[in-house]
Amino acid sequence: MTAVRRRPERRHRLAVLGPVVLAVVVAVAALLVTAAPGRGEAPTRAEQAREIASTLHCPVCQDLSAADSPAPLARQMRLQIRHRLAAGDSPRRIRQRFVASYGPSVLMTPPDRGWGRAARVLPGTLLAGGLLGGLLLVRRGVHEGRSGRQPGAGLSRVPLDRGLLDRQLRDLADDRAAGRVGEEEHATLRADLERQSAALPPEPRPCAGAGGDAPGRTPRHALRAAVGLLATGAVVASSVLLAGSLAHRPAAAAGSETSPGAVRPPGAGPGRDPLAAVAAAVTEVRRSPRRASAHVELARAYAAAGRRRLAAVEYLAASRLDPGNAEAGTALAMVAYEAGSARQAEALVTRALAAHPSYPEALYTRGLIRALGLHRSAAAIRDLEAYQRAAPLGSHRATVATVLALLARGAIR
Amino acid sequence: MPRRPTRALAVGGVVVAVLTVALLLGSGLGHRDSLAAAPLVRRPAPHFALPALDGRRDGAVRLADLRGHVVVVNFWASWCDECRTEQAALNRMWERFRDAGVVVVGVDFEDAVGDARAYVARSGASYPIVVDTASRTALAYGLRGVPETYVVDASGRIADRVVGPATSPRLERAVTRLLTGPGR
Repeated sequence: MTAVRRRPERRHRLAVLGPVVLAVVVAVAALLVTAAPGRGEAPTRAEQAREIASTLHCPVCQDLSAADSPAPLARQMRLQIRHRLAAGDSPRRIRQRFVASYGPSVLMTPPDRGWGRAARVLPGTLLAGGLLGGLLLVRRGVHEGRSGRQPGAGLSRVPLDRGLLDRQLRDLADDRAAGRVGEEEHATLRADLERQSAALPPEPRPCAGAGGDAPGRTPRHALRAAVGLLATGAVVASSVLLAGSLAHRPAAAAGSETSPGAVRPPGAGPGRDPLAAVAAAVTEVRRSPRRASAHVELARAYAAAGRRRLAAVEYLAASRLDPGNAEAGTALAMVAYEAGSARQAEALVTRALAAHPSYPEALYTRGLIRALGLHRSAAAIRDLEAYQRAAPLGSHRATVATVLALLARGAIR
Repeated sequence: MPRRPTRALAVGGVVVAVLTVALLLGSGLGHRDSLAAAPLVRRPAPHFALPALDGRRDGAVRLADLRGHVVVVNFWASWCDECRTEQAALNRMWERFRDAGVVVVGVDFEDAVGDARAYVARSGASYPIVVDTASRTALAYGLRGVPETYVVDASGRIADRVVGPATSPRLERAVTRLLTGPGR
């Protein structure tokens, strides 16, 4: 009797487990086939290049490898890969070069560390979790199938549904009332159905209101609360990460503060209406009258607005506050030179250069003062050549080249 | 009562899935900047020696020759609309800082030479413009598109990178910091 009963049970289990096992076997076989190293002869250089390119992202595309992208930059990547292979670089070295320029995100497959490792491990973990969950569900199905077939149950094909059992009981009562079944048969069948009904798990209780059955609600509500809490936590975590990533972006429009005594290029400052710039700089000087850079900013604004005398006054103020301020010293030197005092001009600019020896504007100014005002050709040539080195593409380079040529010819003495 | 553990397992699975997706989403969003971030920042700038766009031999630029100067390397192309947006800022920057020893170099990227020359003639750019043949320099700098601008300090290291159109305040801040920093 037991053997007879076990056979359909085994058939049921096989019917459920069979497809699962088959699916796992097929998946593993497919993985092995795709992951197997290439057989046969060694790949050609073009194949090798294509293989390397297929492991790298096209930097200017969305989700395309350098091998598949038609973008010109991807074409250049492929070309560069071929050149490097020809030069004897290993595929690993070639990939490293691209990673050095673009970062690990250039790799199609994340690297095996940090988040990359998590991304590698996650699919396997999820797959294993899914399989485990599936197996548990299958086990549950088998278990329930087994529990539905109570020993001695005459109605082995009766569905394990309380509603159906109730309906069958009602039908049985109707049959007895109609005289279609006798008392004895009715009692036997009823006893069978009641046994099956008793074997079913208790029916879930309907969710009660505030005055409901508290012990019955607790586990489900606790679970729901936990899910809600965790989901909220997830949303909050995402928001925090999102906010963090946004906060990381550099503020593009922030201004820069110049330290006192700093070298700033002549005329540097915000590109705006000269009078508005003067007004803003005056406000800044009123706010910080002891800050040399504020006076330099105001001097620049005055110079840009054509108010040279006022600019000189502000440069002088800056120079008093910060004697090593190169821009102020150089500007004052020019003022002194234009006023006819070449020696004082040279002293001023030399003081600026003592603080900042390679400040191009100061080298140029002193070179001119020495060449044209003091007639010290050798010293002027040294300064002007130093200017050329310090600012090879500076705006005075044409003037400097002319003055140097004149000095070399002895046209300026 | 066999349903309880299975249900708890299923709910746990859903919670883990939700958390995982949330974490990946958050990390992905947070990662966008790092994707665009240059690993070259604070590292030596890749060397380049590029010919001038106008074909003049004395217009060629070798980065090694500019050691000791702050160099602003701007990748652009004539077909790039955003490059037009930043042109005024680059011109202004060049005019203001060239006498402080700063060099701006425009690197033409994936462009037709005729179009590029016509663009430069209209743009008013007077700083050196070179051509990145075969995009070698772009690949070495990890370029992801144009415009992109790199600020190289006097020691030859990349100090800053601007993805997209550069603005005057951003460029001036980066350059001023290098000009006024230690050792200057």
